[in-house]
Amino acid sequence: MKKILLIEDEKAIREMYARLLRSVGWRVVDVSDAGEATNVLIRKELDLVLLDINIPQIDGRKIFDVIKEYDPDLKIMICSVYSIDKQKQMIPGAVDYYDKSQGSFVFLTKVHHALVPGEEVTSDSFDV
Amino acid sequence: MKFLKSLPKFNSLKFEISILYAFLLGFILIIFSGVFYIILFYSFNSELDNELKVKAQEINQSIRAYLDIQGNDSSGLLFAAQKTITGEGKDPKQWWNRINERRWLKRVRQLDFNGKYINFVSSAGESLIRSGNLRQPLLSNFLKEIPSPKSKKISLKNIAVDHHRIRLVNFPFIYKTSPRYFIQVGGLQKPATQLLQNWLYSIALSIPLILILTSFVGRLFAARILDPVQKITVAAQKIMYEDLSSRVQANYFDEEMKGLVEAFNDMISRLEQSFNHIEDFSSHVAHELKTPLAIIRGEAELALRKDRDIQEYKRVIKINLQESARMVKTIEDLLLLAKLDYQPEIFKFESMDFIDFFKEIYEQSRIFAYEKNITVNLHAPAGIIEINADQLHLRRLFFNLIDNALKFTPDHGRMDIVIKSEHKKLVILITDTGKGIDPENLLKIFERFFRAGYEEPGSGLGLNIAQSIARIHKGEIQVTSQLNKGTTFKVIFPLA
Repeated sequence: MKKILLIEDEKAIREMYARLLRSVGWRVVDVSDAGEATNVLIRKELDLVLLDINIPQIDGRKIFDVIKEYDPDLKIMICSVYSIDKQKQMIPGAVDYYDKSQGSFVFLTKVHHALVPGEEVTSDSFDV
Repeated sequence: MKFLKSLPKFNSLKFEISILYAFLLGFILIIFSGVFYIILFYSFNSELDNELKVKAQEINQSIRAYLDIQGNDSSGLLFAAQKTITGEGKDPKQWWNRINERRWLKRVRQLDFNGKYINFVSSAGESLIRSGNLRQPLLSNFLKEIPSPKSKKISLKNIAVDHHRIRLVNFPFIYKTSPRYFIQVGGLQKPATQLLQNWLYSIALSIPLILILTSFVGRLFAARILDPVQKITVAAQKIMYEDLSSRVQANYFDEEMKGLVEAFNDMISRLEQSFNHIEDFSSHVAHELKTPLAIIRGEAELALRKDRDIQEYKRVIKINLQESARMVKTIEDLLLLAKLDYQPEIFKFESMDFIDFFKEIYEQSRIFAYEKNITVNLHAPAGIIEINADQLHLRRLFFNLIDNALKFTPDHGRMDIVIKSEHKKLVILITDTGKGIDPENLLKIFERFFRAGYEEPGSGLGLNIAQSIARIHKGEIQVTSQLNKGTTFKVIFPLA
């Protein structure tokens, strides 16, 4: 089973995304800051990191660099309220970008594409 | 049409400077030539007057000399006058001394009245002897100007005949007891005035030429002076709103222009700051509003996906309510901040007793604290502390601080409020037993949209609003904190 690390400081969003991802069958570790994220990164084999940009203490951009340094092959998807263009400009090189106002099914589709590249999915594919 | 472009623009500085330059020079030239003309005119005239007087005096002396030697009678007088004035006439008397005669005649011959009009007149106004050039109508004009018979003074007159201006001297001839005569000597003013007039014409003609020339020179000067303006304009045009980071280089400009360039660059810097601030601000606003919207949308989408039990619907509706309330709060805070920044007139200051005012806040905060079982203590001095404040906004300030303290204080914690007046200042200390603030964040907590963490709801505007309100009251909020022990907010207001 694919394992996802969700780094998101906004509690309501974090809980919602974690619930959503678990309901479609992914394993999710959810953390709210860089410190917790580091612990998970060291101890667990991960398939995808979902990273917010506005995070207290250490900026999402820095976390991105740290993860890439630690494991250059680890896929990272940026999830932020910034527009996709702005996200690409702020953190180039992520596997995908998600604008939080795009809704749950775009979110699930993008996560699925990141984890299982090439497999066609529609919003009906998810039983949530 | 191309030549139209090369014509000077009438509203251009270059044109104005060249015209001003020419105008100034023209004004100076006209005043200068006018004054010069008047001075010359008067000095020429006085020279003519002197000449005429000298001639009259010569005639006077010549006749007197004759009378002194030959005796005073009318035939001798008339001969002396005729001989002196016209150089003709036969002496009615024999000279007993030939040497005297020769001497007198020699003196007469030496006299030169070339071009002068001479008239020897009786006081009754009869022309007795006159020079050959004095004819009518000039003669009658001369006779009109004879002064009263008793006059002993030399008088000067102007006569105009046939476009000629003639200056006339009336010289009274008095010899012992003999009847009185007048010697009239007239001279044309023409040579002097002619000279002046010629001079005036050449000046009048040359002034426009000089002006045209100077306006061209003025244009050249203006172009030289305004050249930096052109350069600044070109440099300024290169600065676009997308990229406000470039500046006009001040190095190669004159000292005065450097001031302009610096002022211009400063303005661009301020603009850049404002643009960055607006960009930053709108990015924060978007972030603060999109986050709750993302939650509302995500939860609603999932809830509608298929039939859920009633508890799930209730949960989703509750979340949506919470998030929409959060958005409303954020928008209200933003509107209040805009007012604090740009509409300080909304503040209505009035004198009030702070102790009395704070009692209500204290009661309210105890109700808020009750949920988390937090104890609230108030230490206030007895009596009255009068301050000048806007009650509504002051209440907002304290509720923001108390709300913040309660939010970060765990259940069963404590909040102490101390009110005191010291050194003409009102000081309010709000101390909590919360988790404290990281020292590196201590300076940032009053910044707009700063949030130490997103675990607790909030817009990141509350403390900024509180500080703005304090500053409008000429006060200040300070903060001290110890991690895991608690935080103290110190509000200071000046006392009247």
